[in-house]
Amino acid sequence: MLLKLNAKRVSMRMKKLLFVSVITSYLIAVNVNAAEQDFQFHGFIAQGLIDVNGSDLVNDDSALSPKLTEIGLNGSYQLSDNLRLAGQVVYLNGGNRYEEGIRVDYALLDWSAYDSLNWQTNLYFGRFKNNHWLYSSSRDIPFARPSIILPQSIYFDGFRDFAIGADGAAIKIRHHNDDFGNFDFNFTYGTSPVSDKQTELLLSDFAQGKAKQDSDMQVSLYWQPSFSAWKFGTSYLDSDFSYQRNDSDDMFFDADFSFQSYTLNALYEGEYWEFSSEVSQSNFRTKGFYLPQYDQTPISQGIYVQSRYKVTNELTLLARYEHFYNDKSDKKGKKLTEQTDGKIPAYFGYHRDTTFGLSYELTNNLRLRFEYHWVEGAGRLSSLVMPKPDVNDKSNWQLWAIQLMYWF
Amino acid sequence: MFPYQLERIWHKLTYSGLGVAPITMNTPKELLDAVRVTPGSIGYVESLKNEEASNVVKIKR
Repeated sequence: MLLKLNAKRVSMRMKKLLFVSVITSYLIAVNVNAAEQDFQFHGFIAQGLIDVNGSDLVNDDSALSPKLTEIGLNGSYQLSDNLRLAGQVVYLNGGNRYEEGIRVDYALLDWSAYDSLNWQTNLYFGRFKNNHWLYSSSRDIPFARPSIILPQSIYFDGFRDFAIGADGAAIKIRHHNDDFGNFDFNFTYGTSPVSDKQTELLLSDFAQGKAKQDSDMQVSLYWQPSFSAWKFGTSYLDSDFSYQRNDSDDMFFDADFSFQSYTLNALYEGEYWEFSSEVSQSNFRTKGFYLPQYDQTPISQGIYVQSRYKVTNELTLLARYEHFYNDKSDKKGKKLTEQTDGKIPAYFGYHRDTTFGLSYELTNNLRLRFEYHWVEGAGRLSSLVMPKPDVNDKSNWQLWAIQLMYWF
Repeated sequence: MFPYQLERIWHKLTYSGLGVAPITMNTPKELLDAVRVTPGSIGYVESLKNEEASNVVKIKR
């Protein structure tokens, strides 16, 4: 069992001393079973206010909204030396960003299949959470992610419920090498249920049929060189969806959607400064849906660069820029407008966001966060297949949000 | 590694189902007492006055 001191009580002098000790501590922490504490439970509650002007990201009328609620409760029970049960239930309300309500975030059996000083292998069965991108496992944990709204180029809220995890199996292999550093390999396979509300959010109010995810395979590899403040990662995702029209009343046709995505990322964590960046390219093939013979595969690309600076132990500043476009052969959306006879404005083809924010730790487990976004484009609003130019009638829009978060 | 990085690792483990976070103690004395009475446990502190009943590994800067 690993015991640690409350972070706030760790002095500046001790920080350097920790440098060596922690590598050992961390490895031991994941090795040692907490026999004396078989059951643990934790949770969090976060409530905020969000004001979006010029888009339907949260609501349709651009009014100040309290739809920024995140509540979670989890438990972990150690069944034996190498078997553990864990689960978390969350309630989320983000307005139009994703479906409001309670969901099972994860519910899994964790089998610690192999453990040595330099190698750890864990297998997870059940509903697991993805851990492939820098913030994919912490995207709905308010205090564990870098901002209230994450960069939508990678962490698109419209795909949240599919990207967050799946029902299936996952494997995680960690390796520590004194010369080459730490390696972390993840592989996951499963599917996620698609609710009627998610179908409506992604495929529009007019989609009366049933959407389903047929498969989701993701793989990632991270490398942290020995004693380096840098970490590098790469991932691949391959997911298939299908849509079965409602024969009695549906303007759409049967469809197959196929989605592949590649990402590269880098993270630097220094004493005061932090940098992170993720780049992605995705192919999104649609066969059918609009018309039976429709078959298109636009290739989207996105990147964000982010920096955080710790002014004091309590105050952290954030700056970020991201750039995304839905079709790399139509970065400014001109083709999109031409193909739709001017019905869909060009700014639906891209999304650019400049963000500034700050976080203040009121206590060890209570944090207040504020951020402001200047956004250009409507390329990352949830109605993907049926954009709503009547509601999103501005190419430039802004939002600010403030959120108070507590965890235990 | 800095304390904030440790916190992030524990948060990730605790709230994503990947693993179990360590138990937090408020003072070095509490931590030492807990290590003494918990078989198989480890902890880290800045300095020690009484090293009895604990296996101490010193880390040089």
